[in-house]
Amino acid sequence: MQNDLMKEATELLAGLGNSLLISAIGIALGIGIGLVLGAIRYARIPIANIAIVGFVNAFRCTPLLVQIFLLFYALPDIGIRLTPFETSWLALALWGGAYQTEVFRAAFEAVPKGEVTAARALGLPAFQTFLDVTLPIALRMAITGTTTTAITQFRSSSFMIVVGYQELTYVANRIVSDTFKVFETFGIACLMYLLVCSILSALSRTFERRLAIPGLGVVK
Amino acid sequence: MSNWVWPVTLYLGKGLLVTLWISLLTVILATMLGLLIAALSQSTLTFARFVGRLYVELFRGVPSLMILLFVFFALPQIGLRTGPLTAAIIGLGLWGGANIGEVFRGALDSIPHRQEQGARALGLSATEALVFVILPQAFRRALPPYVGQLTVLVQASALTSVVGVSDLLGSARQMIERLAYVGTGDSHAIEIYLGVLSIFFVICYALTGLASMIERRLRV
Repeated sequence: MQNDLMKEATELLAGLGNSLLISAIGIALGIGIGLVLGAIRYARIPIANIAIVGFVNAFRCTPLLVQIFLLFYALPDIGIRLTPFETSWLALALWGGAYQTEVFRAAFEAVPKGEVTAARALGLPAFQTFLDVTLPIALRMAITGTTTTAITQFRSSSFMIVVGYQELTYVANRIVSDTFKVFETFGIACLMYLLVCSILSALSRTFERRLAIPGLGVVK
Repeated sequence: MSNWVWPVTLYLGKGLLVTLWISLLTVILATMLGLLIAALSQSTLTFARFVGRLYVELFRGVPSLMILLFVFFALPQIGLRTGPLTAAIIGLGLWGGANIGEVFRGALDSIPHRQEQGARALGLSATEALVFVILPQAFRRALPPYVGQLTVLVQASALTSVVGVSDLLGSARQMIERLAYVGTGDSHAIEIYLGVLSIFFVICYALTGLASMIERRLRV
């Protein structure tokens, strides 16, 4: 009995490892997509802007679960075959990227206009102003929003159960189907999710405090 | 138009009704829970505040799908034999309650303390101050993010297909499976999933528009 629980806990840990793996890739790519697209939105490049708004709305106004089904079960019809692993991180990256784009756009626009004007008045070219003035301030402002999205991405990694990727929810669900130990198994799995989410939000708060510029923004 | 379109559309229409029904019931359940949690957060009893806080932290740190599966498997174990539909609605409602509770709590907390002090100084009782001064203001603050949470719940309703509910996504999957075995064997997965995505998009985009309209209208 005790051994069984140990064996199951080990399996759940392996599942957690897989969840963390796809989440890490998805979060990193999501931040990358968000940063680039958010910057383009901030720069107001005419046609690109419309395309990005379309991308953001398309992914934010539809359920992630349906997006996963489309990627995994429909794309093979036009010759694109993705493995469960590829589908998992790609879906998280695209979905997260749409949310991060909005986070970064808002952060860029929240940078005080005086900072930009001052930099331009001092003779910095537009692009260098963006790199040296807007970006460092905006990145700090984006921390909370970015982590919120990242945590949601991690929690949403549980949706990958539908493509059969062996993440935490998939493993927990399989163990419950085999052993009917509902409360122990799901209880442990929930604790694992809770633990990772708490660590992520604690990290976010630490970053925010460490990177705060005195006199700029709200520091809790 | 090919002959598969009409029957599939009819079938998806039935699925859409199920999705809307699930969303409606989830919203009602989540709103009631949310009100309770917000009330707990304003309590003078430390224990009551703690319970409210704990509920929110627990349910927001765990994936919605995990909660749904937990409820789905746990209910029969404690002797409640319900169908997947009921289990799914309870699971999503419990999860949504935490999110909506946070929205309400945030709105209540955002009303400055001096509003209550002012009302009390003018001779209103504590209850009158709450009903005539605090709640009307909190309501305006809460409405836009509340409508935002409705889109989240509508999107989350797609998760019920994981436990076998024939909602919009569930019926799409059944249709695709059936089409793969009849006639030409073409499952039309891309068209059907894109159709499902569009339906969700229309609902959620409309709700998002409604939220920003309410925000503009109610601005004080």
